Amino acid sequence: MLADIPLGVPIEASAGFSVTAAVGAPIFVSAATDVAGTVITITFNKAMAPPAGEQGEFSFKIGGTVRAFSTAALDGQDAKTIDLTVDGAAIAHGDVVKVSYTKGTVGAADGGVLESFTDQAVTNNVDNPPKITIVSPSHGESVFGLTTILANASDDVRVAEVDFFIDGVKLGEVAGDTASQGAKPPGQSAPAPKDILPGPPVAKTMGAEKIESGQNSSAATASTAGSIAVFIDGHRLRKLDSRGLPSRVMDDDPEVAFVQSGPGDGLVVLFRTPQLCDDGSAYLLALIDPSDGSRTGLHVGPGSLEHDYKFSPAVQADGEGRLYGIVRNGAFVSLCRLGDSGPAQEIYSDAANIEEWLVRRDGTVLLAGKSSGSGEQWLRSVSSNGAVYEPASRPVKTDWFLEMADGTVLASMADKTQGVYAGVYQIPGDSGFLDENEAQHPLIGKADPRYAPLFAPGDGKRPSWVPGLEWTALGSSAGSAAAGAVRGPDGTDIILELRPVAQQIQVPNLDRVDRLTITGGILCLAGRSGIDNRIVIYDLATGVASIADLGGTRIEDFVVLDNGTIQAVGYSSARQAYVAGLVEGMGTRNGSTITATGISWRETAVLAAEPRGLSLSRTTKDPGAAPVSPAAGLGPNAVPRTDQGMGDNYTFNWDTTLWPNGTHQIKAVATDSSGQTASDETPVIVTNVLLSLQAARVEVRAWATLRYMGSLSVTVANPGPIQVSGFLVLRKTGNGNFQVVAEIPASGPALSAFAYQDKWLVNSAVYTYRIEAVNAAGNVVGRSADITI
Amino acid sequence: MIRHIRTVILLAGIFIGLSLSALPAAGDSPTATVPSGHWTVLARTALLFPADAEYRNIYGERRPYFELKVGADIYRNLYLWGAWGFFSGTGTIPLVDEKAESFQNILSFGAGFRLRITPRLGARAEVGFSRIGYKEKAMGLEVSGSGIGPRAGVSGFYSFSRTAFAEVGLDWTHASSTTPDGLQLRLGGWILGAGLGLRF
Repeated sequence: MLADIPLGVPIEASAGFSVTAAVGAPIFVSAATDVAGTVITITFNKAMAPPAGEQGEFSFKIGGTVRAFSTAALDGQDAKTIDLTVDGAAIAHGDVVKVSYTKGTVGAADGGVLESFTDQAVTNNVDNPPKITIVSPSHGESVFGLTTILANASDDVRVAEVDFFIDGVKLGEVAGDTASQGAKPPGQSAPAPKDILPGPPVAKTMGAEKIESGQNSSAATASTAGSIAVFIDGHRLRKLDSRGLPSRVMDDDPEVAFVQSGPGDGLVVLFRTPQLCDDGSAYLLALIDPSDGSRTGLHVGPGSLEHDYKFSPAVQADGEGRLYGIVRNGAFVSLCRLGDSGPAQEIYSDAANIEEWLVRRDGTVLLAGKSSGSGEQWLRSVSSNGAVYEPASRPVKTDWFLEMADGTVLASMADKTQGVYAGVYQIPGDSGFLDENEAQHPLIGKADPRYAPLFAPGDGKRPSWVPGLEWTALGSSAGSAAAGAVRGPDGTDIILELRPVAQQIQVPNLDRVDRLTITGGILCLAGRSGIDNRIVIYDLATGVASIADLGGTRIEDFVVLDNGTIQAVGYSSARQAYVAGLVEGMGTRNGSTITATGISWRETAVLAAEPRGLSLSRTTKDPGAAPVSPAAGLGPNAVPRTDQGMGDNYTFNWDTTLWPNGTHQIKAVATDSSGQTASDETPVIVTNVLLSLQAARVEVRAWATLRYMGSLSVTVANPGPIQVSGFLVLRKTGNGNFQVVAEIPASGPALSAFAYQDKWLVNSAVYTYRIEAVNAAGNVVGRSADITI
Repeated sequence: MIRHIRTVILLAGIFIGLSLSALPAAGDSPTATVPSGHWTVLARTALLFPADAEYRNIYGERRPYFELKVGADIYRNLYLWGAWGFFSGTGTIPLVDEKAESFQNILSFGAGFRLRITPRLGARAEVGFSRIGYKEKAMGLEVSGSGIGPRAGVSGFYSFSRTAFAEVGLDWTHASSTTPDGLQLRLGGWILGAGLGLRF
């Protein structure tokens, strides 16, 4: 009978007595460290009782040094094992480790008490840490412009990633290979480039399908994991994939001058310089598919694509998705259809300047131009077969075109000299604004009511001709509504005229409109009153409108989400940084004047400490996605390079122009698959060409003629000396992209100064200037601060 | 501009021809040189001193001025007159070192009083109005406009014959205009000139 009773277990005897059966003690079987060297796992021959709090009964020895454990616990996977956490420094790779136990209360689950044991061998599974060395730049080296940081990293298993830091600020990281790098023989192919975390600070953005063009940027952008975002990063076109990770879109470093949405989900990118593509051809345009980064070259041929319009996009598509552009070749401009390959197909050419233009859905193109010789302004319609129709009335100044959702085209037109035609007109017809029979009749000024203006402000003159009033912004189509914003003189209210729905909103305490769009039937207006910024939301369908006070945050871009919330990006003067935020809720409208403040502004993220501007982003709705962690405002371009036998080289292109001159500490940290890290640091001295820019809007008067120019004064301090081949004068208008307006040659590294006159400016427009110093290779070796006038 | 100069030269040639043909022949009595007739035609060249300091900064302190004037007697020494003249200038805009061109024409009407001091010498005083048009091409733009203002002048004349006379005079005319950009312009100025005329 006793043989059937477990040893050591009290027996409740029915006969009125009890005995304690003998229970076996647990027996030490083995011990091993984890790969990190922080835990020693001891395996016994039977399930153990929880040893919580009993870590003091264990100790381990490395060499002659006795160490203690900080915790003891049963392994979650195997009850026969106890995990002992090392107190203090982790066990290193190669350490000889022994573990001991002094009998105490640790026992098995069945009650057996663990007997003491001494100096039991511990298998050291600690991974060999990676090795990393910064190869270049060397210690104390002077660097400038786009500097490549080269680090060589190796590991006995694999390098999981290499992180780069400047002065402790993480720039980006490079994922390593899945195979052992150190074992590779010399000359073996390099591991494939992996995802790179973005250099620019990023923030969560979500919204409807929309591409918001912004400024050519090297800093802030917006991204959402689970969405697609494309942004400009230091003249490089980059994208964030569905995981929110950026990857390279281009093989090299294109100078991106213009980006906008193309047919379907495409993205049209205009390069300032011809771009070498996969097939070896040089293209001025590329059509990018943001979903996978693939691109198609669109060969413009001789000439350059015009893209500096006030309102008109540089590339436009008809209803079938065919792309059109205006190509300049000397004094002639050509309306071209951009093909998938070969040169662009010329439809129409003339010695003129095209001021605004519109491609209608049927392929008819409206051109508002100015003859080079006579200077006369005209309006022409070019059909898809090249036939040109023109109203008899001349001169005609067209300020803008708007194509409504139903295909109706509205245009703001006026006689240049007399203003007698001033107003917003509906361009009739679906296939052209005039047919053959109408070609000799004036389009505007005609008695026929069909040609009467839909909107003629005030006394019939152009708004911009009324002292103190000026057209400042336009909206896109929403149903049959069009919008124009009329700016009043300082201290007066903004009046929005919405035609042809014939609604008028009076927005109090607003003396400047910075941005106005209509998306999804919601009109969004960002404006200012003195230094106070406001945003106005107006539902065209319901007439509900509201206004929010943003204080010192100047909105520069916004997207209307499906739920009506406005995602906005702006510059916070308080934070001295770009911020993202939400405009939430809708208020009420009191008659034609917005008085309610039923909406609020909620800042959600700070985008950068020293941003260079905004980016464009294309987002898809993914509310659950997490934002990518912010990093420094740099343009990473890190890729593993050729294995040289000692490990892999990891490179990181560091745009030093975004950092102040002086000594900075470069640090590269390699992390292996087990989480072991190694680092190397080296100081470098950033010695970029210092460009101090002063800019002013200068009134230039002959006698009766008055114009405005930007007067730029640049002082150049070259601490290098750095070879500078020239200086680029970049300018952007309003919220547009920076464009190079002048290239000023330079020679040598001498300290110098130069001036530049930017002739001519529109007095009502806001311009921002930037100067970049470039070397012979075209790399930027110095960059001024942005100055807005 | 060249066309205007040609016109003036042509008119001057016609005037000189007519004057020579009208000179008194030997033996004519002195009284035969007293001008007579009711119509006067005068071509004159002058220096115009622009009224507008901004104009002077670009185009200089004085500009050549050419004018053609006609008059008709209405009662004794009173007459009505009309004149058209022009001046132009080219200059450089200092700040941007760009060329500028301007042109002004002065169309005037008024009344005058003629006083004969001797059979050959006389003086005139005139008042009236001017319509001064301007045009300027500069910095890629062309700006034009006009203004209306008063005109006054005095002159002395000497008669060579019954029909020909020479005249020296000083006129002042002034108008103002505002450009589309809001610039206030002062048009015209002082005109000091001499001319030859016919009376018939």
